[in-house]
Amino acid sequence: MLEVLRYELHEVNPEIPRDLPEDRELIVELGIDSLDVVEFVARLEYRFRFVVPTDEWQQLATLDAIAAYALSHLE
Amino acid sequence: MSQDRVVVTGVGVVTPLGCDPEMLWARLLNGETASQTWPDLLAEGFPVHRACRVTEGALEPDPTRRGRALTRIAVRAALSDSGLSPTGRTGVYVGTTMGESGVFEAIAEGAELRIDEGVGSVFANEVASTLRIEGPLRTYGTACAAGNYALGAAAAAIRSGAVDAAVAGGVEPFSRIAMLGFARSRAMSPDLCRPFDQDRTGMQLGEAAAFLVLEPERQALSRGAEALAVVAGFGLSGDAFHPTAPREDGSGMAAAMRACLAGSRLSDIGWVCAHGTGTVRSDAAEANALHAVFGDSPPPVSSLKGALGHSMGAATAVQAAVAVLALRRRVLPPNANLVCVDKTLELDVVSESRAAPALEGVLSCGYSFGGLNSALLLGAP
Repeated sequence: MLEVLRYELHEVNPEIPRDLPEDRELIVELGIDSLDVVEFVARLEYRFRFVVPTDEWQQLATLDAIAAYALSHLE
Repeated sequence: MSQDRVVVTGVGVVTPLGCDPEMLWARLLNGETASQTWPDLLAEGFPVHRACRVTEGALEPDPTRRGRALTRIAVRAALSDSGLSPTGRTGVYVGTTMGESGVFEAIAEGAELRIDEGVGSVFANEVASTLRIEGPLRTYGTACAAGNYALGAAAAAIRSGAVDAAVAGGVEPFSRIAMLGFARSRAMSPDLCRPFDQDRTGMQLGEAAAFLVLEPERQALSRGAEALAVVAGFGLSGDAFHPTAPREDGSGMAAAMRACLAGSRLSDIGWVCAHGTGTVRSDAAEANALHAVFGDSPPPVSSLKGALGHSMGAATAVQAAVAVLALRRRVLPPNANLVCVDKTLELDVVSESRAAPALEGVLSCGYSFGGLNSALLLGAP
């Protein structure tokens, strides 16, 4: 799953390194542009056919959290 | 060039908290919010179902003409309030973000409409054709700062002598495109918009129209019209930074405020009617800007967006209308939905309506995606 996430994030913005640590906050700690993260999660929603409600969005700060969310919401 | 001051002689509003300035004012002072859940948005599968929409008034039922209806009602009310009879030298200045967005939505669903029915200039054309105003028409598509752009341009045109009077403001009909766009960009609060609150979770969409009648003070006096307020300053700047995020230090916002306040005494500013969208970043940047301009203790601040939602191109026009009302009554309306102010912002956020007997100036700010920053200063006449 983490490999898929890193691939999708890199697809959103090729300048984002493919070896981001999975336990650091993407926006706050790693300085990833928030719009890129929004697009990244939108691509995951499309790929995995789930929808992240607005009130759960704030919890998806790290790749680990996003991977756990995606795994638990797979159809 | 006329050295005459430009004054406001009429105000017209159509908002989710009332289509009459007195009603709007009373409900703002009560701390009310128009925010509610909408069954149609829920049924259509929108990720966020809360918004502030106009519900009263005899509104055009056709969603592809809604913005033009809001415009007509607000402009007629402003002209009636002012008593001005428009001439061939009365200009129309309109700010809008999405235009008559119902047209684009209908076309996307297969309706056979002309796409130019949806562009922003239809509002000024509507005013011209239905109210027989024959002066110049101007439309500003400068997103959430558009109302201020229109008001500032109108005041400048009057000062230059290009027009003798102007109807200026902004309009934004409820937009499903914006509703989805803001939700998808994770900018929207799932419950209430709480500007400057420590637990703020984002913006909420609104809709509105607000227009002011502007004219030279001498003309207003000579026809016996009352000057409700003076347009005392106007400033613009561009962030040149990011498609959506403001500069974190608020330096672009501060530049617009400084340009607006040049020639005014900072101590005359008794209230800031803030942009305050209720997003974490925008409110923080705006607080930084206010500290940069005013130093340690900026004037009291409220945002109207908790009460009315964010009506984008109309937002700063609504703020200007409310600023006029505040100057008339010398009372500051509260920042609705505030539970616990974000202490890190170090702002005096108005939590309940507050008497301001010495209120002389109101700074009304609006910033947009793309980093367009605007500030308008309205003064007591």
